[in-house]
Amino acid sequence: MRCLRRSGSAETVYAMKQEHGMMFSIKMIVLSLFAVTTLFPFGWVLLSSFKTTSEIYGNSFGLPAEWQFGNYVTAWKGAGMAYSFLNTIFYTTTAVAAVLIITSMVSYVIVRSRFGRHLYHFFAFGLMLPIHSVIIPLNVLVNKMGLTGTRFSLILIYVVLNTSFSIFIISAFMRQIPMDFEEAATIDGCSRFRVFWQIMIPMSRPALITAGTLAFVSCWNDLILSMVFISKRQLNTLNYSIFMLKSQYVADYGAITAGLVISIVPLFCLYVIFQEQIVRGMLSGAVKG
Amino acid sequence: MMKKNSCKRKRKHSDTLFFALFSVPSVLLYVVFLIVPLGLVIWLSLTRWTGAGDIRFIGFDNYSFLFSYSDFWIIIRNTAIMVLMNVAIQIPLATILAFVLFRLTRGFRFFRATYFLPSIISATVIGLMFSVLLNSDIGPVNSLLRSMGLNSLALSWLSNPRISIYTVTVVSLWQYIGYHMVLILAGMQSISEEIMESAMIDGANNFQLAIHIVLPQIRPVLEVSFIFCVTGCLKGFEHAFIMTWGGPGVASTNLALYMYKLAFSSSELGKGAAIAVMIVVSALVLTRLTNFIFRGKGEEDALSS
Repeated sequence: MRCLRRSGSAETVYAMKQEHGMMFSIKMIVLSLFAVTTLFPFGWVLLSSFKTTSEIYGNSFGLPAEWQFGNYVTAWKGAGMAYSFLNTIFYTTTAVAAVLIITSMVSYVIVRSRFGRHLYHFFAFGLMLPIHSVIIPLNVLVNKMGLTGTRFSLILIYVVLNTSFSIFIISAFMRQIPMDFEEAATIDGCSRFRVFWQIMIPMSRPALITAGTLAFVSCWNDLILSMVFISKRQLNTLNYSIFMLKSQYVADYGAITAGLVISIVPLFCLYVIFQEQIVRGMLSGAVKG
Repeated sequence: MMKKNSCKRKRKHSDTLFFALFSVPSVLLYVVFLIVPLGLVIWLSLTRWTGAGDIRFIGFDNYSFLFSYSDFWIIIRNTAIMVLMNVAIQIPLATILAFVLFRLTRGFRFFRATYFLPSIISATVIGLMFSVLLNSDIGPVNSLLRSMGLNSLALSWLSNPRISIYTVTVVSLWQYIGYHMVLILAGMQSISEEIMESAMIDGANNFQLAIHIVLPQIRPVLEVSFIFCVTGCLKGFEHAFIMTWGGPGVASTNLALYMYKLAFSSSELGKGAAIAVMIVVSALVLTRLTNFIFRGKGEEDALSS
């Protein structure tokens, strides 16, 4: 990810030359048009969430005549967002913590043991096999284990969903950590476990953050897995509520747009704060982290 | 000497134990919840099962049924449309935008952050958002078209069987183009500055720079972008799931959504598993094909090296 870090200061010689004239204006127009296309839907939804349905119909682009905060109450209460929001936070954080712990453990084995290479190739296969394609037997299996409909089953599935990618990112990073520290610590009588916990984990922090963000986004955004493995409404996720909004408030577009805003805002805030980490995490599947 | 050796062996022994213990959790979960299901999905695809009662082995009947079923061919066509449109529009457009943004100093961070934004939001939310935006009565897209006097263009985007697949594809295109752009941009930024500068000094114009310097240099990133694009079309179905439920009929259903529908709303687990096998196989084949096209054989592939 060298390239991303450098992007902040992209002032290079050839870049400076391009800052003037026609070419620059054309570039700016193209880029701005595309930015408007990207942002317009979000803006429209935000504005509509404060309107009544008839106003959305009659006054599609203007400001609301009267700001309808009631839409948010309807969406929050009616779609059960109060608990589905907490559920999503619980599932996501637990799964991310679990996946980081177990994959950093196995990544250490991958970079430091004789059979590490084989282990790596074994997990790399999972990069090409999306969990969604085995969802049918997985459901049968979870059912047979008596775990269907439990919080635990979904967390387990979320962990597996992120295992391969997380190993890919963390082991690539650990491989670059020199052996010197460990050797020194071992000579001083440090056990393998302490070497791992007090040297490898602190030194792998950047990779853990990257893998963690990626796992966070993929769990937060899941709908299908939670629909299959959790049937009870009280245990379900934010995305499930969003999905239910559509069937529940068929014609109440004020409530639907308010629900959309509620689910976008937390992720948007996280994005504004952790933009670099999120972008790096999401690209790291492609460009080695 | 003897003592030292036995000490070393002891250390090695405890190391093996330690490594084994540290691998167990990941390996166990990975095997139980991914590798075993992969085996099961292949076996299930050869059976007839409704999820309850007896499982009946029927050989390749599921496959031969699907291949002779007319809806299945519409679904294959839909999946092909999604893949082709994404590859032919999304990646070239993303590359052009990335090149425009590439050497910009002012506004670089803002534009990059903006374009990337939709790809971090869940496809569910984006799908619902667009089912409102594209609603034929209330949606702003049609209001805008009508206000410009283009009444004939204000179509029912989601319920017209002839266009719903294109609508769904364009929404997924809209959502993920920024992702591909930022990915390709990262590839461009890793081109060494000496190469760029020497080309500039030699008097290469923007077009020549793009074709002769940038494109060959970003080939590895483009390859990854292609693979993500193709496998994404094969496994993703949230947009259609939310916006049209694959309809009207099967007009906007792709393979992945069909798998879900067969297994979880028609209880045809065997046929669903057969579709899943086709998805996995075609994803692997298309990934290999992309590797081959981009590198020729003999070189290592992008994801597993």
